[in-house]
Amino acid sequence: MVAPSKPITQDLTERFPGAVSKDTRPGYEGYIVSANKLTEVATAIRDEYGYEYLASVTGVDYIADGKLEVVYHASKMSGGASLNFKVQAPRDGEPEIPSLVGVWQGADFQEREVYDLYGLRFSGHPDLRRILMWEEFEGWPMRKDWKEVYYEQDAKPFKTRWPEGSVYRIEEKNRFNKNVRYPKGFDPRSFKSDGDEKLYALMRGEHLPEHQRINTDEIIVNMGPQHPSTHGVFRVVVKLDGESVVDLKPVMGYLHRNHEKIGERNTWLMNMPYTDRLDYLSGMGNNHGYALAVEKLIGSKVPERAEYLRVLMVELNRIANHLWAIGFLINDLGAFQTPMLYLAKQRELILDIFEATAGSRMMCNYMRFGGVVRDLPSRIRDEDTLDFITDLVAERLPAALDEIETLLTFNEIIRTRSIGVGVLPAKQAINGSAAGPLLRASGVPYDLRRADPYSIYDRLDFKVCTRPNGDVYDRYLVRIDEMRESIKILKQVLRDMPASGAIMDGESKYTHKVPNGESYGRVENPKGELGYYVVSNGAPNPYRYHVRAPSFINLTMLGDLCKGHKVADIVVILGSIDIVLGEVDR
Amino acid sequence: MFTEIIKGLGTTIKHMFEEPITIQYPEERKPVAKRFKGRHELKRYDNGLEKCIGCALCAAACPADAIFVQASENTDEQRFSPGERHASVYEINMLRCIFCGYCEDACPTQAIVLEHDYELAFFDRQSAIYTKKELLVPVPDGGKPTPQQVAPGSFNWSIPPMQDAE
Repeated sequence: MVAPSKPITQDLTERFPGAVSKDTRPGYEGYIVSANKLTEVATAIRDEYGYEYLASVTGVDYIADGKLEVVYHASKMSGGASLNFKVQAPRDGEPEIPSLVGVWQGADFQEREVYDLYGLRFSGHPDLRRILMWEEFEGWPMRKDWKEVYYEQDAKPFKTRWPEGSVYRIEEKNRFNKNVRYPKGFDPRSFKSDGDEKLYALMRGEHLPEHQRINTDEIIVNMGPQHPSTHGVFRVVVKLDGESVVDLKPVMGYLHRNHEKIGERNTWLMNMPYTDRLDYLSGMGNNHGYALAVEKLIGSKVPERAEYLRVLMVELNRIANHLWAIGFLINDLGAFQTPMLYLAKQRELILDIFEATAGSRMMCNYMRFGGVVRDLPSRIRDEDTLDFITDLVAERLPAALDEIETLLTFNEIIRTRSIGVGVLPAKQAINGSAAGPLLRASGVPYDLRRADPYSIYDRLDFKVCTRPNGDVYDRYLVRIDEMRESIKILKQVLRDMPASGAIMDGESKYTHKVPNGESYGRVENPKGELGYYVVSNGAPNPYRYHVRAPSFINLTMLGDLCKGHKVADIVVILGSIDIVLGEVDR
Repeated sequence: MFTEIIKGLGTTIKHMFEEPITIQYPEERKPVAKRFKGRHELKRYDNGLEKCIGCALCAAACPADAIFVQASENTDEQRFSPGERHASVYEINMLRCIFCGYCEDACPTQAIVLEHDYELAFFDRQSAIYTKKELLVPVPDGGKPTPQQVAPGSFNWSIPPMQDAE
């Protein structure tokens, strides 16, 4: 990657006349790049314009125009708004556009996802297989003309429920096999899955010339999906030379539910409780990102007190999430349960605040477009609310962090097992779209709360925590540092929060008129950049609803991180990335 | 190294004298917060009439399609709720419900409320569908069970002006 000698100010359309044009549709922004020049333009965007970080890749099916569109969002490490460029391909036949994996490694899994869900091929992609669905799956689920098994209608509320009510229950009328499509010539009696065979062949190196694959000592082992240390139903296929990892490929999708398709059936507001279930350890942050994305389109102005309440909840959630992440990391290192429960004790108090305020401990569904749904209650656990939160923030959490640090930070076993393990160099972290603590532990000071401030973060005093080495130990330390910074933020929030005032922009609404257009809302979630790309066509439900899931994209680098380490280290490295399968598989 | 062992044992001994933070569920139960979103209840007015008027707005608001409402007309001989209509069938599939609370927000008469019961376990899928029998609260003291027979013309508003005593 070449750092730009001086940033180019020339517009992208002038730099590439004919190949790049401005997106002129109302409500849209960015550029449309012609497919045959894509690699060249992307390289220029990275090297000449300084957008080194590819945040998000996603597809949209514009069925009325007969087009598939791939939307890229690239960011500068120095901060500022992201650059949005698009490529269009015809919908029919076998659409194909060039892959950008050579330019940004971070495009790898995301392009596979677009291929999996839209059937758009990326030429030059090193490993273009389905990623969330299984290999034999028939059809491209995110295309607008694909219908799910119990398909009822395109948008909610369904007529069977409202306004007619009591018409019929769809399960009784819509027989299971009516909507299921099978591949041509499918015979269930002779069917044999070869989906994994492709993966194993790739691992064995069968695509390589013969002299490069004389590997008699190497074996291929599956770790997961049912494995206690993969944090859920997650599988890695490992090529081993004795105990050492030679190659590793993550396999995911066991918890896939096509969250995005569900999101396109739902009305705008109905998606809010579903976002809680992405990264279920930080529901407040997920709510915040989605609210920001839709508020950009609606143009609502969030009242002061609601902004403070949002930041209060999100930062508490960050602490709860990091406590859990560290607890599990230590658990993965072999210290079973005890340290985790020490941390759970503090997390419990944070969850009590959520329960008293939003009504649920994890699935809070707390934010709405233009504010939050409820104000703080007067009492939590028989204590005055503000006293409870202040006591937690000022006394208990710092004391707990000090306790963790005395117990763990200089613990010899932890240091031996984590220092120098799973090193991610800064350059690769940026190129591979790593986000959150994974990126900052590699010494890259990139935090969206500073880089592209949203909500009230530009008024708050905190620093972006980085560590130089990029190993597992540094990721642990960055999380500790971030919790301390969060405590600092929380103290300021408690000091500056207006004592009363509106918590909602206008009335709490049920249906929302969302103007045509696209919007990308992003927040710094505990796990990294969480982005929501939404497209509205004026209907009561989103035309496109995409989640840029940090856990999912952080896994792109898992193979490279584990190479050369032992099998036992895979568990630790995975724990240090801190994934939640609800978000990885969506 | 010796001091570290003492230090480590010190932590163990310190915790021996601390009050445990765990509770012995199900013998002991932690009270939930007032706003806790647990199992739904269908409320009644003080005189025993049901608050639900069968408008099915909760079913429309439900993101998970868990609610199923069938409305029927009220008559003065067979009166369930103060309005024109009442819910003759009201079902919530607890396996689908995600406890988001939108039904509560949508309800114009505050008939459906997410209350504090969180112990929902079933032996089969059919028993996960809660009907009016399970959802409707008992008749309050001084009220009469539904259907009630009332004087003609005393309740003719779909959203009644009568308020709860609360």
